[in-house]
Amino acid sequence: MSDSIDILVPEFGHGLTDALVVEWLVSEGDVVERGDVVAVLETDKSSVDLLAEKPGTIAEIVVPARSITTSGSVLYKLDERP
Amino acid sequence: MAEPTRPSDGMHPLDVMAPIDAETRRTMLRYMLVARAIDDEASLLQNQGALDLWLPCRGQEAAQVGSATAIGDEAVIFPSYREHAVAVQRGIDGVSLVAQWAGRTFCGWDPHRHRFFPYTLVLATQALHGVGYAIGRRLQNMPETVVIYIGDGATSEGDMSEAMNLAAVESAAVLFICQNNGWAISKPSHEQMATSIAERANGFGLRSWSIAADDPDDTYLACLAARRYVEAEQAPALIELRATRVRGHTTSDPHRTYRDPNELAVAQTYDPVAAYREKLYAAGVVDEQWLDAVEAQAGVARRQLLEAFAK
Amino acid sequence: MTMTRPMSLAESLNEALGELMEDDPSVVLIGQDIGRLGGVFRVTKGLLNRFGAGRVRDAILAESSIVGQAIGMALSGLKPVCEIQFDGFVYLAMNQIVTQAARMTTRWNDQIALNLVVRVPVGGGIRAVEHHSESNEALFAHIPGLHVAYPSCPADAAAMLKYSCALGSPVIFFEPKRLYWNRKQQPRLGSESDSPVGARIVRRGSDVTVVGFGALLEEVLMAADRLADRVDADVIDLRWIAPMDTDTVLESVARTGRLLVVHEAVKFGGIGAEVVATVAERCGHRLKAPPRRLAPPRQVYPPADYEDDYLIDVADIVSAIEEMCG
Repeated sequence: MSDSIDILVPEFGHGLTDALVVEWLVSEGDVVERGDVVAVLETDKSSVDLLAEKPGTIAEIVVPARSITTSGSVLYKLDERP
Repeated sequence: MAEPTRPSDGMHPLDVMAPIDAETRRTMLRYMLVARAIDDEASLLQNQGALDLWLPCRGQEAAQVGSATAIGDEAVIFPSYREHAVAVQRGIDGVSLVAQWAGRTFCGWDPHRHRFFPYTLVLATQALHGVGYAIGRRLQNMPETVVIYIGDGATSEGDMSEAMNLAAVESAAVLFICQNNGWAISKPSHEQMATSIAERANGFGLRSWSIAADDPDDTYLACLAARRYVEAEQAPALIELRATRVRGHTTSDPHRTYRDPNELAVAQTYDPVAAYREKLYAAGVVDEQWLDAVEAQAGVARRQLLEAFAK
Repeated sequence: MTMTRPMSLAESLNEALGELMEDDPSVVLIGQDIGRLGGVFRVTKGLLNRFGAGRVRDAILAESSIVGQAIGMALSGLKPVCEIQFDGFVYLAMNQIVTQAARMTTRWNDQIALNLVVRVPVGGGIRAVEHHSESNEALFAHIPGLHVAYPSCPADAAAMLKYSCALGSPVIFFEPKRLYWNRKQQPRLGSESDSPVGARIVRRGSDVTVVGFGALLEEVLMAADRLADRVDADVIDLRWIAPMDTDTVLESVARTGRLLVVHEAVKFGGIGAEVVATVAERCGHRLKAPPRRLAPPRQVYPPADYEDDYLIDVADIVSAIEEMCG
């Protein structure tokens, strides 16, 4: 059984660091491929589709929808495929 | 009796076949004669060191007075720096016109009063100002016809391309009047561009014409048609007025060093002021008495220049 | 995001622009992508909907055209506020700014007022690509006929923008882009300056005068705070590069006897040189130590990975102050 890895909130560029998690498009237990849209975030500048960095299973949604997070924080945890 | 004059080659056959009235023609000749007097006197003053510099417009009087008369007194003009005969048509006296070439000011006249804005020595920058002005007046619901004068060499500057493009996109009511006198200092206009000025304007989306501007009557009619187009369509246009640069770029330009002797010899015989005077005299539009009165006026202008600037 | 929190620079400017346009129908905006997109930094967000495409104009991709047509609009009776998308692209408009805007009223023998604001996002620290992190205020400061504004915080930026809009003389209005979405601000004295173009003392002290402007003022205040137990710094926000309020600096140096100027732009030929030269000329005799400038060396702004080493940071400022006061 693999340990979960932390997936962090990315840098958004242009000095933007805060983002609102508008909604999650996946739930814990969903399998994702790299490139799948997993959530929609919103910064001061615009809406951002968050894409899965790596394939695996969503282990834990750390930042719930409708809350604000910052670049570098843990957003969700992922069980990677062996 | 004034004969109906016909527009010259390259003209779109619009409804400008009506004869030009005698008074307009006399007025044009008067402006040309006064402008010539100022130009000659300023050249002499520069030669004697009373002016730092003078840019003669000799050979371009028909182009300038014909176009200035056609656009009317309401249009606001963004000139380049050689439109002295246009300045005369707009009521600017010789001393005010010449003052900047004696180092006294950067503009010797009241631009708003004459609706003739200051000369711009960085080429083609005025083209963008004129387009912006037209856009601005339209935004304020006070539409005005804007006329931008520019030379052939200056059309190579980026700002001219940008201005034509912008005018077309904005459908700005701007008439570009390009005097092509064949030279940009020592660079002949056929080496300055691969397509004609009128064609390039077309390429940006402007209506354009190109005429030989040796005679003020032809020039007047062609520019009148161009102005009517701009005002009726509320869209930009460009008219190229082909003229002759008789003297050098400035009084300190040794143009003999780069001009073909034959070409120069022919250019120096060219005199649109004398030609128009003869034409109107022969047609009975002006007589000796009228010419003497204008000569006196020109004399006054020359004396004023001497008084103001001669050492 | 709906919870109340301090205004960012972008929001403050957005509000100010809206108020300017509401109060004065002759104010128009022109710049690339300012209308439909609301500007790449969203400074003009929502203004197209409120005021329409006639007054919020998405410009053709040509910087000379943006400033050139704005000059024409100003001559026609409008008050144009232009936007150049990034500092590194302002050079394309230099001809219209320097040979035309700056000189227009002189050429007209002061018979006109030329209302013109050229807004320019400035500076680095956001991992931008080449040409998007410039600090070129010294180029404009050197040109007679231009005002150069360089605000350091949202509230002041709004006030300075409003002042600039109807000044009747062209203003290059720098906006520190790393502050656009920043909501944290070092506490600073809120005193009003005597003159709308005056410098402002944002921290009172007695040991050393530290002059700064723009985004870097935040780092200066952080450094002053960090050193508070051993050095008491008088911190001045220049606010305007040109005209420069050197009187406030001189008055401070007369009290402290020490001068440090900090800026993000290259040290050589930078604004710091003007401040130091003026202080040396006019109150050099009051200096207890040689005046100093803290600024990057004369190098091209590096790729993003090397940006942190290049930029002046709080530690650099702390060291400089300590050396001067030790």
